[in-house]
Order: sequence, then C-alpha cells, then structure tokens
Amino acid sequence: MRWLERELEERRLNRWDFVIWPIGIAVAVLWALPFVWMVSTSFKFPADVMTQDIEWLPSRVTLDNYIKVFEYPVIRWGINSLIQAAAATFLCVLFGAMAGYALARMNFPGRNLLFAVFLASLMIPVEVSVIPLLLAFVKVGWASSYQALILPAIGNVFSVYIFRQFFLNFPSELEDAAKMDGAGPFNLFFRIALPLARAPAIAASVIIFTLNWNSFLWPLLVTFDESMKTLPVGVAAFTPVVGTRTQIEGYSVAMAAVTILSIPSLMLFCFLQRYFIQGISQGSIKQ
Amino acid sequence: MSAKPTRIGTLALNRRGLLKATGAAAASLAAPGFATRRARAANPIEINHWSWLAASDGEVWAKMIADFNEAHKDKGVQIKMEVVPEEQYVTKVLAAAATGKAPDFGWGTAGKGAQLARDAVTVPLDDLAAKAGLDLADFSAYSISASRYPKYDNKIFMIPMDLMSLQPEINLDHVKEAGLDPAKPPVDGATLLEWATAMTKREGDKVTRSGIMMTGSGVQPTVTWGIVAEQLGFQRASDDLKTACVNPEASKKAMQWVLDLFDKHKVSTRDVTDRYKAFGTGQGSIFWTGPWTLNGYVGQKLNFKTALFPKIGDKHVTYFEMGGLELYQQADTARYEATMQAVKWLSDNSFLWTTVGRGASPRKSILDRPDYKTTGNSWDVRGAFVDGMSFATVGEIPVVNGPNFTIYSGGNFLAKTLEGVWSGQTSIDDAMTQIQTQWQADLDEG
Repeated sequence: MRWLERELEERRLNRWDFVIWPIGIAVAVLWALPFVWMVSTSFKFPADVMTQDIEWLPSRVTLDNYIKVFEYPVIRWGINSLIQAAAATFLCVLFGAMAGYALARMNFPGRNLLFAVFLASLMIPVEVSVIPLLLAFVKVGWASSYQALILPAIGNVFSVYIFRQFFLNFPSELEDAAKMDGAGPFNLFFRIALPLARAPAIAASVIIFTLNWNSFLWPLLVTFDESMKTLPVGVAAFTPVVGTRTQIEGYSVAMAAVTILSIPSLMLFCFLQRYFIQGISQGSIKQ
Repeated sequence: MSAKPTRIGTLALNRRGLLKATGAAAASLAAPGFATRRARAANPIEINHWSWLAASDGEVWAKMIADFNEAHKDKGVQIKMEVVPEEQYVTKVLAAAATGKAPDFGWGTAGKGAQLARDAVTVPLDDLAAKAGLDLADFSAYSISASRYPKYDNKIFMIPMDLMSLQPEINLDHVKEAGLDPAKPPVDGATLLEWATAMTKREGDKVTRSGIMMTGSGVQPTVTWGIVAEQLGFQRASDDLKTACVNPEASKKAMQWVLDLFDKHKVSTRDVTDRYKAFGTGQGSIFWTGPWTLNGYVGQKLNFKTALFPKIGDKHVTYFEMGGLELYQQADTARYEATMQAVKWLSDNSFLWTTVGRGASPRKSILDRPDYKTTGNSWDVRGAFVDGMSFATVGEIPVVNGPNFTIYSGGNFLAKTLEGVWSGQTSIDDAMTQIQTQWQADLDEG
C-alpha cells in the first residue's frame, strides 16, 4: 500500500478522491448519454432509428439528415442567432457590470431596495409581458428585426447579481488610489473595476450567451419571416411530433437539426469553462 | 381612407391599388389569360401562410406550395410559407392576431378552433368559398359538417384538406406465425380478441408481446375507450351540445373493456411507453393508429397491413381527425378573396397531398380518380384509412373547452382522469362522475 500512498501524495490526491472520481465520472457519463444518442441518431437512416436493440453507434452512416436540414436557411438562422446572442450578451454584460458596480460600490439612498426590486423582477413570468412588448415592437415597426430580437434581452438581472457579488469584495484600496489621482466614477469603473472583473464577465457571458442562444418564445413571436428566425425557432419546426401524433421517419432529421443547434454553446462552454467555474465560485463565496 | 398605405410583400399600396391587384389576381385565377399579365405582375400579392406540418408531411406540403407558386409565377400571386412548431402555433396565431400580424391562412384541426372562431381570429368561409367558386358539394358531407362551429352561427371555419381515421395496423409476420388468415382480419369484438389472443406472447403471467398494442396510460387506452364507448352507444355530448355524457353506462362498459385487455384477456401490457416504437419493433401485433405512421413503417420495411376498425358494439364507428386550412382575420379585408382563391387552388389540387401526403381526400372528385388507389403507399396499408372514413364519425366536440373532450390525447383532463382507472387508483364510477361533472361545465361555458 505504500506505493499507493506515495502515488497519491505525488498527485496531490487523497483516498476520498478514489470514491468521488468514479462517482463523478459515472454522473458525467449519464449526462453525456443523451447527447451521444442525439449525435448518433443524426447519422442514422430513418429506418434504423426505431430498433429493438440499442445502437449506440449507427450500423450504417448517412449524411442525408444534415443535407435535408441544410435545405432550409439554417445558416441564416445561425447568423441571426449569433448576432442576437452576441449583441444581447455584450450589452447585457456591460449594463449588468455597470449596475452591479453601482449597487456594490456606490452609496445612494434606496440602494438595497433597488437591488431587491431587481431580484423581485425575476418572479414575473415572461409570458405576462410578452404580448404588450410584442404590440410595442409591432407599433414602432420593429417586428422581425434585429432590434426586436436584441433589445428585450439586454436587461438580465443575473448579470447584475453576478457583478454585484464580485464588486462587493473588490479591494477599496484600488479605488482610493484612483480617486487620489483624480478619477471620477466613470473612469473608476471603466479603467479600474471593469478590467479586473474578467472572471465574472466571462462567467456572465457564457451563461447569458447560452440563455440568449436558446431563447425561444420571444424570437418565435416577434419573427414573421423565415429569414429572420433564430436557430432554436427554426429547428423546433423539425420536431416529428405534432400534437399526439408522431412521424417516426422524422426523428433522424430532427436530431441532426438539434445537433447543429447545440454545437455553438457547447464549443463556447468548452473554451471558456475555466473562467466559467472561476466566475461562478467567485460570485458565490464571500471572502 | 384610400390614401392609407398597406404593405404587401415588398410594395406599399394604397387601398385602391390593393383592391385592383386583388381583383386582378382573383380574375386571373378564375379565368386564366383574361386579365392583363403585365398589370398583375406589376402588383404582386404575397399571401402569408403558416404551417405546422412536419417530417414527410411537411415535405409534401412544401411541394404543394411550390407547385402553387410555380403555377402562379406570372399571375402576380405567390404564397410565402412559414413553418411554425405545432405546439406553439395557436400561441403565435393569437399573439400575431392581437398585433395585426396574423398570416392570411394556416393549418387547423377541425373542432379544435372554437376559441379562435369565438374570438374572431378565424374567418367564416361560407360566403368567401361561394365567391371563389369552391364547389362545397364536391366535399363529403361529414367533412363540411366537421368544419362548422354550431355555437358560432354554424359557419364553416375551415376548408377540409385531409381526413385521418384510426384503423388497426396489423403485423403480418405475427399473423403468419399465429396461423391466421391475413385476408380475413377481425371484424368484431369476438374475432378481435381471438386474433389478439393468438398473437400475444407471454412469459408466465407476463405479456411480452401485446396482441393489442396498448400503453399503461396516455393516448392509446384513452382513445380505445373513446371509440369502444361510442360503439356501445355513449355520446360525449348530445347533438345539440347541451348535455354531457349521454348513456354513461356504455362509457363504463367501455372502461371495463379496456381494463379487461390487460387483466382478464391478458392481450396487452401496461409496460409499453412508446407505442410507435413498440409496434415498429414487433412488440405489438395490432395497433390502431392513423395514416401519419405509414411513411415511417413503410420506410423501415415493416411487414404490415391495415384493416378496418372492428365493430365491437352496436354502432360501427371510429375516431377521425380532419386537417384543413383556415383564414385569419386581416385589417385589410380585401386580402380574403385572393387568399380564398389560393386555398381553392390547393384544395382542387390536393391529389398529391392525400395520396403521397396524408389521410383520405374529402373531395369526391379526387377519390373517384382512377389513379387515387395506385398513387402513394400501397393500398394494403393505405386503403383502410380511405375506406374507413365511411364510418369514422367520432370527431372533436366543437366548443371552446373542446380539448377537454378529445379522446385522442395523452395529457388532457380526460386522459388524466382515466389514468386513475387504468392504474386501479380510481373506480370506474368515480371517474365517470368526474368526467360528467367537468364536461357538463365545459358545455355550459360555450
């Protein structure tokens, strides 16, 4: 057993890791299985989808499902989604950081009440406000436009919350030094605070980008043109289930469409996962 | 008034210009070659259409729209289609109508649009159809009757496009294995149980292959109850839509009939969750379902045929669903006429839709065509869905709370109430009382 202890010590592990790691791996595999099944089905022939034996890997592979999906303006939908998610995320993170900084670092009457109102707004379901909002966008002639897709998404309380938590622990010495150099509130925020808030900015970006990328109800209602659809709205039409009826020949095409939909947010998470975890833990731990 | 511009397609027109364009388009459809081609091409009308059709149905419907556009490319009328997921279709239509952005026409299911008719989101079509020259006499009587909403002036709110009845699909490998004659499928309750028993496989007391494909809850037992109950003389609502649950004893008998499939005859198992997959993979032998399954099963080369639903009770009936096209309210009523002309064209040319697409045609002239039986999937699998329409009379209850009445649902009030019966947690009497109370309240509401 000595070699084991030596190995553990070298790798900075303890005995509990032997229990935790297999459980973690098992949970990760369970989470990954539907994704694997989705990708696998997307390469199957429609006739091979409903089989008695589970085929994790297709016995024969086809790209026809992807070809069928790309007969629709999927690239345009993807570009729309990218523009919408990127612009909304940028504005949301910027305004969230400003609001979070003000709520954490600036003293003004009703500061806590304002934050409570922000949090309380989370309890209002989107469905309640969606028709008046739609009416407003139609009235100003912005239906089926990028403005309509982006503007309602920029006010996200989560972004405010994550930045407020970060700025609560922000060292006041930095601010004091800047103030002594004559920095005003905008300079303090843009030149001192914001550049140091990289981790929460990335965490908020990943989460808000994913939320925007997957947002469905609003883009569904506000677009009246195939060319202005976002990817989730376009892809939803591939579902082979209509009411209580299922057309089994449509599963493989639907899986190809959903695979295409999931790739961007998955890639974003893979590239930025380190910052994502760091940002989340910084937001949740009070030092 | 006349100077108010209206945006159609890419052109801004005033009302007079729009009327001219609509009139020209209508005339060109009614009498090709009569109107001046140049004038029509200069004022194109773009008719907005929403569809929720998916998979192979979606592909055939897209072809229908493409055919229309091809046939009208020089006539100044084009259909612009947007596919909207079925689950969100009504939400989007309601939101669009509230903001004046509703499409000109879209897909609907007969009997399920009472709310839209009540709120004037859909438009009554009797006069428009007559003006457009759509021959309603060419439609089957029940398809036209199913398009009406008796509580809303008994007007037609949809032009029927297809009829989809529930009929049994039978696995022919199982038939052969059980030594049954595929040419003589079950015709009544007794022969149905005989066939089901012969094809059922068990391990001890456990059914491992259902003679009659059933699920433990959801759509399949609910719709089976609904059909059998109506065959035994039950009616969900009286003909005048005033009294709920006519002859509740028949309904109770039907509940018992379904329970007996599991517990007495042991020809079905509650263990199946995905009925489509189970039948497709040979876990069930007789599966009553609709024509939307054909392309999938034919594609996977399942050896099956379709038969007529057996007559289990005194009345030979089965469930049907009717798809059709409905027109939505427009601020500019001049659009209705051109839209109705387009719908007429799609109906007149629905041969492709009801052969390669789905269901049976509601148009007599199409059913009478000699090539109707030879186009699309083979008549062995398609025929019963066409012939079976003669007794498919169990449809939707056309009231605002109609979704509570539908027997083809896995999650509505009815299915949830009956779920207690199938699992043994609610007695048949209690379930019947609950259903009767709720349905009466639903009918009273309008």
